[in-house]
Amino acid sequence: MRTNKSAGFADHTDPELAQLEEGLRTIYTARTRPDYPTWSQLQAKHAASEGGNQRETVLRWVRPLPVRSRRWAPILAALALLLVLTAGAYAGARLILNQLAQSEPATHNLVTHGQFTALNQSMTIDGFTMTLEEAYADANRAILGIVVTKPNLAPLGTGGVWSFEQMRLQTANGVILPAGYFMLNDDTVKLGGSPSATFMSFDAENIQGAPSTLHLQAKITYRCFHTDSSSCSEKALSVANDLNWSFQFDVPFHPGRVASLQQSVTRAGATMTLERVVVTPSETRAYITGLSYGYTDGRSSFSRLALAGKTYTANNAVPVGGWTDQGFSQGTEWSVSFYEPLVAQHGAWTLSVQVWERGTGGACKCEGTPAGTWTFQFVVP
Amino acid sequence: MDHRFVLSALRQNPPQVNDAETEWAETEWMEAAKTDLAAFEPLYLRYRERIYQYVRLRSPSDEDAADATQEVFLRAMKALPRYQTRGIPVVVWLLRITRHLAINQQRRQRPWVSWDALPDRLQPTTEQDVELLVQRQEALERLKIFVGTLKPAERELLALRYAAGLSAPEIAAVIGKRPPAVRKQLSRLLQSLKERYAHENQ
Repeated sequence: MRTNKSAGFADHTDPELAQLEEGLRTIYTARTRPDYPTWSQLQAKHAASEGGNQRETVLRWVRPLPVRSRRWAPILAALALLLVLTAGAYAGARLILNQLAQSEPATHNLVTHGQFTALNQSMTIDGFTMTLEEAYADANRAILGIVVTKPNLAPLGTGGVWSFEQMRLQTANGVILPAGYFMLNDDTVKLGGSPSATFMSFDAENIQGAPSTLHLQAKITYRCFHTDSSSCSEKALSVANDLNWSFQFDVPFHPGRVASLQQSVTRAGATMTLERVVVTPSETRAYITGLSYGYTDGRSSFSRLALAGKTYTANNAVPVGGWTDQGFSQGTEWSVSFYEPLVAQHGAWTLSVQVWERGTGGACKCEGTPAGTWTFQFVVP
Repeated sequence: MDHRFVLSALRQNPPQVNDAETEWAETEWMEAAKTDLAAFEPLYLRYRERIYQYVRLRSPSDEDAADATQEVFLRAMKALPRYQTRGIPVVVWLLRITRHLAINQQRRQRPWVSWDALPDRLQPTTEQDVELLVQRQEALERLKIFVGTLKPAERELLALRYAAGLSAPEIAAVIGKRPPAVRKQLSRLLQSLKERYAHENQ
């Protein structure tokens, strides 16, 4: 998928020039595509070239299993299969999900402390069995723990991967929880029958009040994915395009704690307001207004949360309700998420939001300079 | 943008390459990939084809080009911690790595070819009529010969433009020249080729 970027030196009103350019494109892109290594294969080679010394990561979110674990993936898969045969499917799924949970501190903490509700709902379509093993919900996130076992299909073609798509979570009264990120074990499945596991996150900000229980319906599609669909075999595509699962279940709701702050700080002529901080077992989320960067204007933010002698970091703030092409007004609310188990923490917290100027396509005249740092100090009861 | 959401969105709706939003998202992926390599996956899926088409021009075989393409991405992943945006699109950064690799390989190994190992067989894809197809095939063969007579620097411009799919400012960033100079050079080059190509096709 390549856009035509000849503007500026080619006159497209000239048919001869257009014909020449078409000829040049044909010549220069006529090579047959090779069998590119899959992303997992490339990652494995990268890990091998790094001598197995994987960098410590600050954040481990949407990612396959850690490289060290991926190296042991066939053994773990075999072990999981053995467990399924000897101790039942539940034990195998539990093993995979427990391992996956280690990718993120907050989810790991939830699993460790038995905060997930066991559901164990299974549906089988065309030999694919999706099991909703467990679920959890609080005022920041709803998280589903899912395991999929696959039949012995023919190879997927070159580079195709099995992927969870079009996730949709909805409450009984119609409130939609937008899909957020998901953690995967290994989505480039080549061994028939080896299970895929995921913790799927949904944004629970739209849940009003503090219901004791949520009645939820989840709809999930599972399919062979690639940017070039021809890389998935026809069989994989024809089968997987129709794999739509639906589950209904009840899960306890944890409202967490909300610190309403409305604290404003002015730096470099701009006023930013920390509206509130929502602390739940799955996440600590700060809501901010006055942050003035958009989707394409070349700015970004970096946030730090300091409490009890430790500092936690977060990537870009994201606009509440999602990114749009319409730009963002001063009143737009943004959220910054920290995926750490901080619900037991109280007392004095410090949140600093640093906005960086960065250009796109070389347009920025002030690259690499912080526009300012807005620091908020507050007490969480 | 948070790459966790980007990955999910990309899988459901792969975006067009190089529009402003995508460029912004790519910057975010690169930053995220510094701490989480999984964020680099969309960039690999997006650019491997363009890197391959470019590197194939200097490789003696398809297999060598595929290996070199893989090596480009391995080097990129290794260089990720040192990556700084500085307003440079990711594709430019990757092409810089590619050029360095190709130049170094060429120094070490004779089998690496000079510009350009254009394909032996060209297959136009649009015409259905056999006679038109043959004519088009012949025209493309002539164009290939014209390209072969160009200076190496001129052929490199064409390779970056049509194999790697770069814009004039991106080419300038890769080869270290000013965008107006590259634009002017490309414009002159295309004009010259057009006159010869049109004349031969008459």
